[in-house]
Amino acid sequence: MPNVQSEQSDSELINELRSGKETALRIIYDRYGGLVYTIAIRILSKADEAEDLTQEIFLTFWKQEKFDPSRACLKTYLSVMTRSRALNKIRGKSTMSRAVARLQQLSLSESPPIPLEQVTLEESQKAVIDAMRQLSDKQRQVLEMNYYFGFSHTQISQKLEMPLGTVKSNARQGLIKLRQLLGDGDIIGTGEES
Amino acid sequence: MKSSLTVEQQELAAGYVLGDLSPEEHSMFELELHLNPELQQEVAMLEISLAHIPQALPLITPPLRLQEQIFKSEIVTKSPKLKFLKMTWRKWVAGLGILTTLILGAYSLQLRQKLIVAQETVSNNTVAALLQRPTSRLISLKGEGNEASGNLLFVRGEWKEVVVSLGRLPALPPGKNYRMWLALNSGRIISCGSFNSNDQGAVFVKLNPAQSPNKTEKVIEIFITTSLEVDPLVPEGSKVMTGKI
Repeated sequence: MPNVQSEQSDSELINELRSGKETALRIIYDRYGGLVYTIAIRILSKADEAEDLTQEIFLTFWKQEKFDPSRACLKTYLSVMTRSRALNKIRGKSTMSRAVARLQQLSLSESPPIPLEQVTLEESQKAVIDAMRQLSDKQRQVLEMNYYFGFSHTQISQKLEMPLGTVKSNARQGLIKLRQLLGDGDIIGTGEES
Repeated sequence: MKSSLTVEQQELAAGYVLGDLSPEEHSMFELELHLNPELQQEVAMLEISLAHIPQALPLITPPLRLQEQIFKSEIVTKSPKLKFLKMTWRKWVAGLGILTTLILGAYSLQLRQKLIVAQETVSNNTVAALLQRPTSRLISLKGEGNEASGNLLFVRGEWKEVVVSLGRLPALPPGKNYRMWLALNSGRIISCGSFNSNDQGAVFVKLNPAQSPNKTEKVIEIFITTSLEVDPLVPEGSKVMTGKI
């Protein structure tokens, strides 16, 4: 993918997008089109459906952009929107769209934002890969089945033939560990020394 | 900053984000979430951490033609955003009128939100007191043909004050509000009070019912209707939400 270099922050691009500048959408696509397409193909498993969904995400974003940069960063918003719509397509339900609404209702204003929200996609990718490696195999497996397939813990328990309590425990502990690793910023060298 | 949340609160927060809480746990957690800003922050951080998971995937480059398709789409090339800049003066005047209406609407909404914030302040103290009562009880309320859900906290045998926490309520028509009713085993229906939702369809209020059930009567159902802002004596229209005791 051609990489349009731009020093502009995501917030500045959003402002330009709102005033109708198509170039802002091009830069946002260059920055995050790969992430959106990767999530879409991981969940939908079909290249043509992933292309359609990627197109749908960016056209919807252009047409009726409701993103609030003070609530979450753009890459997180686009990730949640893509996952939500992809799971809706494979499950035929609309309940996942609540996740997008919930993300935009997050209250982050009274404390420092998560460090990964402040860095580039490349930097946060490296940090997330490191963090995921620090989870146990079971924690990672359960979280990925929940994230990419939208399986409930009961469904995961049946598919892995693992007691429900063990599935819940692995998912919760895995997420808490991930939040500690990513949220505290140590993994990308921005954490405060204790 | 060190978290003062307990291990149990952190686990419940993770379970809440992952959607694995039982209906009872979910109700209690949402109530606690209303009252605890640190817990709200923890949930936000967990949501964002979960949303980062796909960044561990090796990025796949979308085909070049996809970019062309997007930027050649009529949605982009015939963007209403660009048309907006080319409007005639007549449309600007009309637009100004609409803008004034929106500003007045937003001001009215702001006043309504202030009212709800004031109600929440009262409820925060009330909820803590109610939760400490050994006979306090939490009832789940579900939407009738809509996605609303929530809880009602009260003290068993007493209907002097109840705390209502609801979400995803449908938007109210102008001039109407929500009203909660108690259906009794005697066939009587009494009003519990009225309230408005905020612009996200959420409600967190304390109600002080003017009437209480008699000693021989039991509440069998709680339901919510929309009503005119003047006090109606009987429920009007269909039920928006219901809950069984």
